[in-house]
Amino acid sequence: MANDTALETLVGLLQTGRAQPLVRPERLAPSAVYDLHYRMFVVASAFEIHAKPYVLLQRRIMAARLKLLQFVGFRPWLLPVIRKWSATQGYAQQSILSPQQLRRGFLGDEMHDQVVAFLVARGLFLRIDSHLVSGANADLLKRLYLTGLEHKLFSTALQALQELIDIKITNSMLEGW
Amino acid sequence: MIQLTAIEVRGQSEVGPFAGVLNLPPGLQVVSARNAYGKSIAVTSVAWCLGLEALFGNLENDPSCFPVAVRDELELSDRPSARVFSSECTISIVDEKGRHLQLTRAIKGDSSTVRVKEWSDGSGTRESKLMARRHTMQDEHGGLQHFLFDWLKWPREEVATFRGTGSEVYLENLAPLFYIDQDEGWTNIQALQISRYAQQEIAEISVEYLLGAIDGLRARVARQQANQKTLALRDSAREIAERITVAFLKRSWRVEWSGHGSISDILTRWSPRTVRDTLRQDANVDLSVEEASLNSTAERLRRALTSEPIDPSDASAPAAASQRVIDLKQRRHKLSEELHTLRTQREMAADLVANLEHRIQAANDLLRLKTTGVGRLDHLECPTCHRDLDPTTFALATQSSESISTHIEALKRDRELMSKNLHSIDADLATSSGALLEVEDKFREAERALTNVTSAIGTVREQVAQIASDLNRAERGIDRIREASIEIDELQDAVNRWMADAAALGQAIAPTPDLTRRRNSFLDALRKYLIALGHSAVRSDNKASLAFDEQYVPYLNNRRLRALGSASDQPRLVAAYSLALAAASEQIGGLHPGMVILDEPLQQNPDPHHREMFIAFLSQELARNAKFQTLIFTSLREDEISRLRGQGTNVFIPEGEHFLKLVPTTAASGI
Repeated sequence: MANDTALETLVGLLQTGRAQPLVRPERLAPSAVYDLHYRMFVVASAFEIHAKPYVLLQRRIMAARLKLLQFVGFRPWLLPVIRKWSATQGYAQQSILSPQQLRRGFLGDEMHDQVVAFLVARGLFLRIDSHLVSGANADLLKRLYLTGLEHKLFSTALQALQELIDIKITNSMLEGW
Repeated sequence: MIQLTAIEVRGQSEVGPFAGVLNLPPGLQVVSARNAYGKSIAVTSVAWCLGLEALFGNLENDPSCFPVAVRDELELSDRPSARVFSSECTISIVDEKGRHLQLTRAIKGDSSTVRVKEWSDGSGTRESKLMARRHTMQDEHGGLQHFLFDWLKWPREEVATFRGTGSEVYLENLAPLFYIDQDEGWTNIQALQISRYAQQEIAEISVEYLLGAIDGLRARVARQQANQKTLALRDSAREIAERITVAFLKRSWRVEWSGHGSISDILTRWSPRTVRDTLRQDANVDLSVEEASLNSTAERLRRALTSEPIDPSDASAPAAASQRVIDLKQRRHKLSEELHTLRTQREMAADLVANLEHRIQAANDLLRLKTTGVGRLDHLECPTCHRDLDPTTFALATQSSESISTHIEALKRDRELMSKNLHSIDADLATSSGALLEVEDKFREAERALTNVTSAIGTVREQVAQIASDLNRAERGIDRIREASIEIDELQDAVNRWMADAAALGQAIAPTPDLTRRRNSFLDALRKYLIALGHSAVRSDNKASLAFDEQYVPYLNNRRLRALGSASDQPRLVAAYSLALAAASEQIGGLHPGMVILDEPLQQNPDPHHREMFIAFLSQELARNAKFQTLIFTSLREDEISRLRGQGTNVFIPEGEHFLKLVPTTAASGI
């Protein structure tokens, strides 16, 4: 691991002070959610499942909607929360009582912004106003999604994304769109 | 040892009676006839007369293992085929003591029975009709296999099954070792072995049976039964532990009584203390002390109610009854709050476990993606300049497989921790629920007592009502304690029975010296036959490295022999295995019937080299001078026949175009 050298240095320093450090590298392993491949797969799946047809055989999705969808795709346990949040949208008073963590969480998902920037640079997406449109290499998105389906990869994320089809996501939920 | 002396097939067709006979001498006999002559009819007749259709995967009494020629349409030389009205086959057997046996079974007709004719040289004939398949082993009077085992003086051996029930070693379990069918028999050692009876380790047991290693076989079965019993005991331990936990928790007693682990672990854990001891030590509940205390209280109250004076100036009874109601109400409220908190905690813990499950699954999928490369986009180039895009430019990174693996390990540890936490919350919930029920019961009782006390007129009556309520409460408490005592005694009985069963499980059963001797004899014979048949992987210089594993599968230098050598070595291995088993059994006085039937060994790989090696084997002394009967049904060329005959090998060429021929009317009168 990249941290090994720094850890070894730290262990060496501690040992000079007669300390007996116990290194548990497994505790240092970052969560899988920070892996680019995993991210790309969930973004591709969210796009393939939720994007709407656009001109010239292209498809598009609102960038903020994709951000929320992929956020829930990574965390299927949030589905009941977003379902409740969506149900309270017509009622201002109830909306105040709905969970606040989710919206703050997905708005602060900076890694998603970086992944989208990377995919735009790669030609998988095009940015048009507030939307992401399938780019010149968008076939890779479809390939990624279909491969996942075929090999039953990330099935819980895919299931969550499918369930999100039945949950109405309003513009007001996508704060800052 | 027995010898097959004749195979005969006969019947009636629309053009008259037909028949075919093969007379077979002892020792090696090669029956050579062109393909489609009808050799298969003769070979199948042997299995059919012995009631072995299960070998071919057929239902009971289903003769579809026979060619059509004997079931529906008889093929004839120089005339059109004729419809078959009825047909049957007979095999004749003689043993080394001169006892003769003739088994006849209908092919087209009522095939459910076998006509048996037995006689000895110089004695009378005995005829009977036995059931070919139905209760064939169990029916002492009418079962064919029961009769055959008796006639062959073969012991009946019980074996364990995967279903947990007992079974026996049947003839169809032994036959795959001496009856090699042309369709499937050559595909593997014991390819025709029956697995649908669910007998455990039946392939190994069959080898040991034919080697005569009955003690070894029984030790193996005893081991299997011990294993099955171990599994049953472990299940039973878990069930008893669950019953004890539930019985204690419903009374809000928190006690650790685990039924997990190995039998010896559980025995070590359960032996030193009784269920009552555990209750006393872990939950600080001594039922006998509590019962004695309640008895003493009840006795005191009874005396107070019946004979002791009552102080008319004591007006404290209503206040005491009221205070008890208030105390119990507060306790109930506290327990309800605790339960609410526990339920919330449980919900959150369950969510967390589900969350961890999802994360573990996602991380496992990601690891699969990393290690197999499925769906991974490694080369991401800029569409304009076509250069690879480095994710780090976007502050992105991909993780290594090792990193993901360690992350999965960490998640699994968290899951284990949370599962334990969940288990502990469940136990707390059960304890608190039990305590709440008990408090509610006491609360209702206290409310009734308060009503009685406040309804009473005068201090004396108030006190009498109070004492009566207290006495009632004490007696109910005694009943509860006795009920618990009875249940605990029953549980202790179950624990004691379990420990007695576990202690009687016995020690490990070691292989017997006799089995080792027989096994080595078989191995020596196999080495000889493999070399004689020309197996390309086994030579004189490496034959010592050939060994059996626990399943009697031959290994050479720790590699399965089946995986070594060329494709044509497979039938050599099957033939060598069957012949070596017969030879070893003959040498050590085993139970092998003394006949080996090899149907079409040359069809398995008819390349010239393979043929040449097989012909060379048939002309060797090892094959020719074997003391058991070897019947080889094949198709040889003229030059091969001449060569074999020149070297003293029996080659029989049946007459005519087909095995089955029309019988002249005068000769047919006896059919």
